[in-house]
Amino acid sequence: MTSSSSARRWRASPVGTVAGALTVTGLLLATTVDMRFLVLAALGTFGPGVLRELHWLHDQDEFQRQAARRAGYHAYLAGGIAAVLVIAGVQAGSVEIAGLALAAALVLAVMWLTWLFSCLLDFFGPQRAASRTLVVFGVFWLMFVVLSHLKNLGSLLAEGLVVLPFFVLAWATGRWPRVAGVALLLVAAATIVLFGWLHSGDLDHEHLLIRALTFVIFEVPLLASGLALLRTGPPASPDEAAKAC
Amino acid sequence: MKSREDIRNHLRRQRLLADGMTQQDLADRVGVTRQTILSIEKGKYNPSVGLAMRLAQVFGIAVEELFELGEGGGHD
Repeated sequence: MTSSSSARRWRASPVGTVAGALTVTGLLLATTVDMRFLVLAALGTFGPGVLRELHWLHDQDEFQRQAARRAGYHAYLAGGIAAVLVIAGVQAGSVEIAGLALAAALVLAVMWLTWLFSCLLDFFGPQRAASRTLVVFGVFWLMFVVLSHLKNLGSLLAEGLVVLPFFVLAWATGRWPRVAGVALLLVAAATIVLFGWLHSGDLDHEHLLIRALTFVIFEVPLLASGLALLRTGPPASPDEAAKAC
Repeated sequence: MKSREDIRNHLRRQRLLADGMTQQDLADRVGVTRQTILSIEKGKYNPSVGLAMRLAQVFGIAVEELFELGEGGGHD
C-alpha cells in the first residue's frame, strides 16, 4: 500500500452518518423521554437497507452489498434463536405487558449487535474490529465513571483504573491477537461472575429481561471479539500489527 | 470474508507496475471503494466476473493474467 493510499482513512458515508445519527438519537430519546422514539432508531437502522432493496439507494459496491447480506444472514440466525429462547422462556411463566416489550428489545439487541459485529469483522478484520470495540467500550465506561464520580477525585481515579485494561487489550490485539482473544474471553467470563448475571435470584420478569439485555449488550461484543481473535494468525510484520489497531 | 476458493490474484503487482497506481485510484476507475480493492489484494474477497473484467481492462491484460486458480489461494 502506498503512502497516499494509506493516508486515506475510512470515513462514514453521508447515508451512514444520517442513519447513525437517527439510530443514536432515537435510542437516547426512547430511553429518556418516550419509547415511541424507538421508531426513529428503527428508521436509522433499517431505513437504508429497505431503500437499497427497493433500488432507490445505490451507495454500496459489490463488496459492501455482500458484507451486508452476510451480516443480515447472521443477524437473522442470531435473532431467530434469541426470539425462540425468549418466547419459550416468557411462555414458561406469565409475563406482564411491559415484560413483552423488554423481551422484544432483547431480541432486537441480539439481532442488531450480531449485524454490527458481522459488518465490523468483514470490513476491518478481527484485529481492528476487536481493537475498535474495546476502545469504544473503554471510552463509554470512562465517560460513565467520570460522570458518576465528578465530585470525588479519589473514586474517580480508582474507578478510572478499571478502564485501563480495555485500552491495553485494544493495543494488544494488533501484536498478540490470540493472547488478546484469550484475555477477552477471560474478561467476559469474569464479568459474568462479577456482575452475577447468571443468578436470577428473586428477580421479577421485568428485571430479569433488563439483566438479559444488559448481558447481551455487554458480553456479546467481548465474546465475539475474543472468539474472532482466536481464529487470527499472528501479524506478518510490525507494520501490519500497527495497522491492525 | 475470506474466500475458500483457491484463487490467486496479481492485482497488487499489476497496480504497482502501473506507475505505482494507488488503491484509491484503481477503485475510482472501476467504481468500487478502496476497501474492496484492499480486500481483493489481500485475498479476502473474490470479485464478481464484471469487476474482474473491469480490473483487467484497466491494466490492458486478460482476466486470466490477473486471476488464476491455484493451490491454497492467496495473493502476491
